[in-house]
Amino acid sequence: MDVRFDAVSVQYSSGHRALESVSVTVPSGQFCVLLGRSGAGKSTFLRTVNGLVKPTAGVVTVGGVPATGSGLITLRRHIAMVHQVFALVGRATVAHNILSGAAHEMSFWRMLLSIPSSRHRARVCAVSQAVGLDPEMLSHRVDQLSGGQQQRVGIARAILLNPEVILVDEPISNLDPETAHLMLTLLKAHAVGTGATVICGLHQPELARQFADRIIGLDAGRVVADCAADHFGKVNADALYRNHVSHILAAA
Amino acid sequence: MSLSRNPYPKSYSIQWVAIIIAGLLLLGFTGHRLEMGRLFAASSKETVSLVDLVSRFFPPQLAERRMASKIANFDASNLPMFAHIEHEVKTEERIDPKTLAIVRTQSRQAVLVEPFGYAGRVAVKILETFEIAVWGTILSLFLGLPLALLGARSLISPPLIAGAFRAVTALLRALPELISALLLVAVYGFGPLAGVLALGLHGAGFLGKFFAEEIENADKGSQEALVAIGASRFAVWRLAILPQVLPPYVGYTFYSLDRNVRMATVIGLVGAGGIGQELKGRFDMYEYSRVGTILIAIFVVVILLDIVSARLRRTLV
Repeated sequence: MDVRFDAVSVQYSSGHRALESVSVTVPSGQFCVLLGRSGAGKSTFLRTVNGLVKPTAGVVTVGGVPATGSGLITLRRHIAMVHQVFALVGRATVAHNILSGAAHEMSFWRMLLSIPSSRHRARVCAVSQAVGLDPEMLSHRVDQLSGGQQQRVGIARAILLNPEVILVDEPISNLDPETAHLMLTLLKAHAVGTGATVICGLHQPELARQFADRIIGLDAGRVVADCAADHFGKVNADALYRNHVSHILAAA
Repeated sequence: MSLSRNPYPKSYSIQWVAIIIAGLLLLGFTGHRLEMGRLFAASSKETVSLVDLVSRFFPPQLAERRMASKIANFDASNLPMFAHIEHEVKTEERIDPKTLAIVRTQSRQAVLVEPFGYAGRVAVKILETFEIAVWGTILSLFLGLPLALLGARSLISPPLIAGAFRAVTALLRALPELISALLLVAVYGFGPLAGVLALGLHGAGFLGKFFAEEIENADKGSQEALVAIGASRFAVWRLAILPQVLPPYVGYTFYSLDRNVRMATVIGLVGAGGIGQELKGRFDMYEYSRVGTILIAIFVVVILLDIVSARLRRTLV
């Protein structure tokens, strides 16, 4: 599924303008990284794709379907999300958290009594293996795991049903560099394997160049850079972050 | 030289000093009204009568003695367990209506002695108190859960309906068990049922409030993660909220049970069954050695319960 932004603006009720007339098309199967400093609009960009944030102007369409109104719930079932602070249920088991990625497919009683179908059991085992979680970990409580293991659970939940679009919101900002690299490798491998479109917010230009097909630079809600990852040079990265540094220096 | 004002905030403002002084004055006034000074009067007559009262509880009565002649279908060859028969000589004094002289008659009477007869009765009453507490807690769970689900902001109900359910919950909580027991005894008569209802209603108010607060304070991230993939409201509740709130729910329920056992002894005083009713009856009959047994039993049970429930909550939550 492709993701199309057509002159999308978002203004929050606080008055903050998070996106300013963004027009971008991410074609199906692309691994696209959003680069930009905190507050540049990366999260808002991602959250307008699955309708968690409603655009104040413009239209977002995913696979030709507008991400608002009555079709939204159905559309969301094709769009997975990996969250910055994992957004897992700490008191529940790893298996429970991964399984919740199939929430819309489970019947009332299976969900209420927590008895997944054999197909869902098999999928949970398969994806947990794919992200490198030991099978014995499935019965552990999530809040007993390290940050890296928790994000593995988050990724497993996202890819459980082979979504066509995966939104990734700064998945590694709480992880050490090695684990961060591993997480992106896992995501990339899955995306390549299933042909999923990935839009991933990141802070690190080097990682972006390494994993992305394409890099979109955001600054103060505007697209300030948009090119293939190979063409995204040090000059672009400096331009994205320099303003920020000079602001801080000016204030001090 | 200009003295710029230090921006560090003042430790105390004049308002707070005034409020504290006014509060102390008010306490002094009410303390005088309540004769709090009597607490500090050493060797007062209150101290003497307290010691006197407590000394009458000892020794606590464990045995039950009943005159055999007053037991229906008494069969001396088939006594209850551990029981034996004692004979005592009883002297009766009465006034002869004709001569107006005091006449003494002596008679030998068989007395059935059950060495742990009264202790057994207290144990049965303690058990009944437990049963009242357990059923009261079950009732408050069945009432409190739906009240919490409907009263929690941000779950099912629109704000106005949620507010109405929270008001009902607050009303139930505002009704003290002792008072509702007093009223319910008038409706259902003496006995445990009134106690179960009184505990259940108040407990529903308690659990309803804290269950709803747990739902409202549940981590929003995992809920949003489910909304983001198109999950239903039921799925959000079952998959994201329930696993978060279940351990504290178990904790609150155990606390409620713990409290209900203590309250069940108290509401017995107004006739709602259990050990409290026994206590009230014996106290009013001046049978202080029986009161002693009852009080010791209550203390032991409450302390044991405190230990067990604290340990259970630690392991569960």
